[in-house]
Amino acid sequence: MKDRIIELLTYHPDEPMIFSTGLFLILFLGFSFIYMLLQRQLNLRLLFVTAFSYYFYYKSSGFYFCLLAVVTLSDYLIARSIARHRSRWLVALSLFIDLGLLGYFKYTNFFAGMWAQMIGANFQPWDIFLPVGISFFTFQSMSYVIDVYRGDLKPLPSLLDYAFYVSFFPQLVAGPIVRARDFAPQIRKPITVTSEMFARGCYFIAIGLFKKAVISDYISLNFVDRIFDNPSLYSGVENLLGVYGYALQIYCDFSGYSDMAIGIALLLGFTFPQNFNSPYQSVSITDFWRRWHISLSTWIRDYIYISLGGNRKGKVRQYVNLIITMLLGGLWHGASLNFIAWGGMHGIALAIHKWTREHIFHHDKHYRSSGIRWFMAVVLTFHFVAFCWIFFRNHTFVDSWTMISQILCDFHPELFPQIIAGYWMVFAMIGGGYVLHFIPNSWQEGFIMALKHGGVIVCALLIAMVIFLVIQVKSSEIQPFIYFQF
Amino acid sequence: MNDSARTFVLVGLVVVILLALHLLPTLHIGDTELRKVNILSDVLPEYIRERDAIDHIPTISGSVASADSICEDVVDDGLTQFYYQLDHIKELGRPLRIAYFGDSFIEGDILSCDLREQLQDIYGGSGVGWVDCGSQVSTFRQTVRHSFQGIDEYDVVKRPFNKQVESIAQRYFIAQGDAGFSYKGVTARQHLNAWSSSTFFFRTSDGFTVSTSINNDSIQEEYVSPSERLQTIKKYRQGTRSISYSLTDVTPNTYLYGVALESESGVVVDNFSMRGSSGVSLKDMPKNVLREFAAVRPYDLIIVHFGLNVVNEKSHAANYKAYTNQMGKAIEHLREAFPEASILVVSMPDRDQRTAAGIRTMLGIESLVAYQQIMAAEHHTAFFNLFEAMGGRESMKRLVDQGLANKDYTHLTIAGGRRLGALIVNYLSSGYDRYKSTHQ
Repeated sequence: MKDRIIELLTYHPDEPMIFSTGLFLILFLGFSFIYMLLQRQLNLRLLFVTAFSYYFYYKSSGFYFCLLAVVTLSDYLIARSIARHRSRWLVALSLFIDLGLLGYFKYTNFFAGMWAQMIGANFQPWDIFLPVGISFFTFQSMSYVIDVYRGDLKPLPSLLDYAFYVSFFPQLVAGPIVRARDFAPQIRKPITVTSEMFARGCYFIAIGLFKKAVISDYISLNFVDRIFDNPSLYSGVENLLGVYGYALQIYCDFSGYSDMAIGIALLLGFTFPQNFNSPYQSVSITDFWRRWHISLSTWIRDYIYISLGGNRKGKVRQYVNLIITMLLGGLWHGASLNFIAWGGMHGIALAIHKWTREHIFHHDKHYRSSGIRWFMAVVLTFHFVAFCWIFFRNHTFVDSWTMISQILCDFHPELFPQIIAGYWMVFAMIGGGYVLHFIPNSWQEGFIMALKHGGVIVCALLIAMVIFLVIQVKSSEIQPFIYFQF
Repeated sequence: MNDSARTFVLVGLVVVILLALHLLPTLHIGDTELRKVNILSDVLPEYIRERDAIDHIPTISGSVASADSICEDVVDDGLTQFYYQLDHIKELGRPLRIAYFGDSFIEGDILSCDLREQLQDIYGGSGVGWVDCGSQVSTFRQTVRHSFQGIDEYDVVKRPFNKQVESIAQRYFIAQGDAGFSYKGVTARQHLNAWSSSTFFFRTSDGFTVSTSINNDSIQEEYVSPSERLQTIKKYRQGTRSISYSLTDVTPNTYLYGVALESESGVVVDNFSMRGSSGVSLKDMPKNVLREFAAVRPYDLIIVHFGLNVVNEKSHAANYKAYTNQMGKAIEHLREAFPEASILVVSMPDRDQRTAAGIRTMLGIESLVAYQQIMAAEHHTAFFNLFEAMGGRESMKRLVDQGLANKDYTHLTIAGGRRLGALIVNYLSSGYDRYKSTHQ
């Protein structure tokens, strides 16, 4: 028993710590108990939370938690120096360290492979471990140094505060990318969790868990993955449904995890900015990027697009800047050409949208479409985004192309009723997921208010109910493969 | 309540509720049994692993096992005839043929294509072997480019089906008027780009006209006269890279089967996959059908690889015993039709299912594998324990994690087929080495 517990608490590469596990629940129970005892012991509490965060990171990436310490220490010291003598070189040093680490761990094999291909050499990828969350905490830390350099932020008063900020476990491994300027003022404030924050936190945890561990998990395993694994085995209509399913799956996966992070932070007295705002309600691709992974899109806007000159260097440069920004945004998602292509497509679409809005439709920034125009805009934007997801999800262009050609040349619409009947549970979830996506915000607020009135018992019942559902889904039988092609 | 105390109380309540749910008896909604809540399953995984108590695994008695291949030091006499033929492959005057019967696990020529490629590498031979006239997975199958039109498929796992007119692949096709099918070699695997002999198999009581074109050359038209017996049209040309058949004046009394694309020597492997089959239907194939096929297409090794459609979590060991009894009859039936052929039973592979404790091997698999092994021993066939060879429990999960199997935790990807195909080739090769060492 003792050995098993020690074993369970040690790092295992294939079992990272995620919020939707029983282990996290039990650990969080212990954590919240000590957090409660340290309510009035500020420094001790910061130290305890930081230590827990480092343990959380260790559980996901083993001894690579040292990287977290390296980034934290170097950027803390650099930012302090920048506050004294504002030097570009210091920013460059910070970028060199952060991007160097990110580049080494995430992109070495990709670029070395490309280089080898260009010179026609044989290339065996090196065995480089990708530490979990490195893209998130390096970006978070870089933004701090740049903000201090730009004079937007004062450096944090102590290393402990900075370590607390960079490592704060709710957002550590999968975002959102919280800016120091939003987070720093909350660090030394007495813990305040209002009834509303508490209810909102519980709501976000429940909805996040539901999105990630019920919807996304179920539809990916039982339908979406199998289509993407072998697109040629399925008719065009199944491929198309697979793409629609994936669009929902990736949204539920990303935003579900963010929601849980936001919810847990709220229960600890910290407010994170909103990260997803019903992105498939977008009326344009520009609108989409204001609603999708907001912490990332604003990050690349503020630190890449603006640094490239933004819209200050003429129209053509602005379009080029947009495309470059999105190419790099694509690369951030993963070291492979398909992500770059995905980013590039979004970049070009953003540029085209900007151009047509100004030169063809003559819409200003305050223009809002309505009625049938709104509907068409939402449908068109969704389909463009879904089309791009094909390239995001497939690792090779051959697979993406197979999928597209199945949809265009081998559609077989007559199979539709059979497919829906065969996978009715999957499509009920997909349908439900999209309906959930389109419910008005006021309903969500109403639900949170109801939770607030219900108090801690109702909140606990809600979360336990969702966990019960998660367990049912996690151990449900895998839907057998069904082939409808003929 | 103090601010952070409320958070602690919340988490505490959630844990208490979940622990209480664990104490509830198992609930049912309709036919679905709700899974037990066990948040401690991470901490105490063995606690819910009660499988060994339920999963009855029969033991194999020593006397039975000695006739079988599990003992490394015993020469596998189940394959002696096959090894003899392999030893004299150049003197056969025909290719050495292997029939691979299986379920969806080998659909699309997965795994069997690797067996073929590796054996052809060593012993020569070319061509993909048997290909049905039509196929549900023709776009997926990478070992031949196959297209067809104007034919309807009938197979043994669906009704209506008249087994009196079936082919050895347990299928037949009926033309809806004019029909056609064509095959083209591929370079995805070695030795499949060109072959020398193409044989078309069918049965017609009304006759029809067929036009054949090899490598898109001139078309040869011929009339096929009616007969109740199995008929073939064989075309021989070195370097055949594609062949197409176009049929006219076909009536519904014509049963189209398939085409064998092969070399005149070396090794030929025929993939006979039947999705959804347990393999038991093999015992009901009419004797005269099998005899007719054996006369024109003799086999030296018959591989029988089923089980995926047999195991289900609610079955009992008794079901598996009854199933393997039936399969034993199928094996004797095949042996009667192909007395010269060796028979190799390949056990069912690992197949996994989700449980509260994670992805686990389905209950019943080990029980069925053991019964398959007993059956093989009782019927004196060779036995290859694929379940053990691929790594035993949860090995399918490991394959899925490496991209070698699909997320249904049941079927292999093409790359996974290569991995497992190599295991079967190694098994046959090491058996052959032992054969040679004792027969020199």
